[in-house]
Amino acid sequence: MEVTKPSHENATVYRKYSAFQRISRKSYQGVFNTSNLRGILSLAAALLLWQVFSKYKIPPLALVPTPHEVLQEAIRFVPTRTFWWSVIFSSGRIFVGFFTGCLLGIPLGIFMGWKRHVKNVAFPVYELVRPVPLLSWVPLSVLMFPLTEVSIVFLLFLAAFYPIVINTILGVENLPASYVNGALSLGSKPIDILWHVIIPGALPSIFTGMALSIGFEWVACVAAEMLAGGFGLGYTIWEAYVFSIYPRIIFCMFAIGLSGYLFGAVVRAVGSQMTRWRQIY
Amino acid sequence: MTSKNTNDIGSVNVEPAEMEMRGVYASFGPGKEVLDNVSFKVGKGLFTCLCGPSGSGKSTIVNLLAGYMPIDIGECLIEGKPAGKPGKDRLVVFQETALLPWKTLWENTIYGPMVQGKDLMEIADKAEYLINLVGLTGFEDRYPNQLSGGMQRRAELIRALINEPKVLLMDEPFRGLDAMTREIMQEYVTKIFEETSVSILFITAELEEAIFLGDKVYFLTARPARIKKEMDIDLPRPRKFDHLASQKFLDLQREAIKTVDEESQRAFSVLLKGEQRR
Repeated sequence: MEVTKPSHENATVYRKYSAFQRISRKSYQGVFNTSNLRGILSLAAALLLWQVFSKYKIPPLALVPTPHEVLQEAIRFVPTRTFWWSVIFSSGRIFVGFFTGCLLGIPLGIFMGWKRHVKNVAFPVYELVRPVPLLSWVPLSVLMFPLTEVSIVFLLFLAAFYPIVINTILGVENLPASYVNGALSLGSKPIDILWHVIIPGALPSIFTGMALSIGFEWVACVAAEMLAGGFGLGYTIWEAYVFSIYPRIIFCMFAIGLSGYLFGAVVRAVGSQMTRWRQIY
Repeated sequence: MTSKNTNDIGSVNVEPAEMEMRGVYASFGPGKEVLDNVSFKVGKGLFTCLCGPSGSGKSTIVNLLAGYMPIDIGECLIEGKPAGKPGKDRLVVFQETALLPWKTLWENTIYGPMVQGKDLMEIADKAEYLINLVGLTGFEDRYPNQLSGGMQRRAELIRALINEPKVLLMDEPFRGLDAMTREIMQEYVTKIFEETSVSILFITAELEEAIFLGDKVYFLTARPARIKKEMDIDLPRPRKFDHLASQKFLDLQREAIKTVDEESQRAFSVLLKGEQRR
């Protein structure tokens, strides 16, 4: 026999591979590398184009404030109490809606994906209600809950609930049967299957659902605040429109975009930390 | 084997058992008959191979033996008693890896005893011994996707072995491995079998592999599968790759090829008749 020490051979291959990785990382070092510079360039071009269009009244940006005006408004508006309360209110509503959505959606999705009879019972209702556009729930949720705050949070709960449930179901159903069968043969009890096979296996998909739902959360939040009022970034946009403070509208849009990005980044970071086994090669 | 595997820590004590399939019929519906009165025996402490063309229902046989599918007609017996639900007395090594990707090699290895609530110190000794036996020492903290295909299959083997099963059911475990890795794997399986004397049912589509590994080989027909022929392989143990060139091996191989050839001729003519009828 010629080939006798497979493990050593594989170790060499592995070492070689990680060296390649080191090389490829090296060429992307530095803040001002080629790919980052390209990104900065395109951003600058977009800003310039905007400035030119709105300054020389070229439609469709004829009535839109220039980037310079938006920046001035930002400097004026950021230190105010109104702005920070708006951010806190919107974020708080989203957090509560997102959290309750996860709390109900993940277990429901797991059991619907795992147990056929749970899916048989619950899925038709879910699938019938899901296509109803979120915004058409606004009047009903105002009727259903006496407090405006609760009806807004209910909308945000729905926004998180749908994508989380469907992604969790898919995550569980896509697990190869051999994982569950193998674990069963090795003497697993149902709770072991759930804890060691189903949940960790569905986790990547669950986090995909959560990241998706963050996007829907901000859509629903701004719409609900515009309609049901109170505080919040969505409401501030509406108010600014009514009082014709146009630069503020654009600044709030940026603020929403940034908050949405930050929320998404947190979810993604937690997700990749919890599914570390997928990133290691 | 030149790789040294001194086993002064732990060991597995396997009590081999006899497993039998008796008069089993299986079908997924009209026109989709899979098994047609299949009976065979996995001898106590013997290496039994089941060799058949792909798509002949080999995996169905494993699913029935393991208890993943209910049996309608016929019975599966282990030590003369109905086998029933999946259990650790007969463990399956799957075609595709069933290692849990979110657990390291070590966690995967000790998974069975851990969920059964066994003594952790004892498990650790056994796990260390087995990991050494298949040459995976030093890779304990790696996740399955950091291991090569061959290493994953070996990990799969010891994940089953640590439970000291009475019968090991191996469902085309080397499918998709390259020729060289396959040879290494055959060597490891032979070694494990000769060291632990666990009863093995090894399912494969490769003639040579079946003859090289087995004490007894059953040949299956194309779908619906019947036992076409059984052959006793009396090559000496421990098996060496030199045996592949021995006259005895070649004789056995010739006999087997004749059987398989008849079968494929028949399958082909059945196919032709079907075409004509249409």
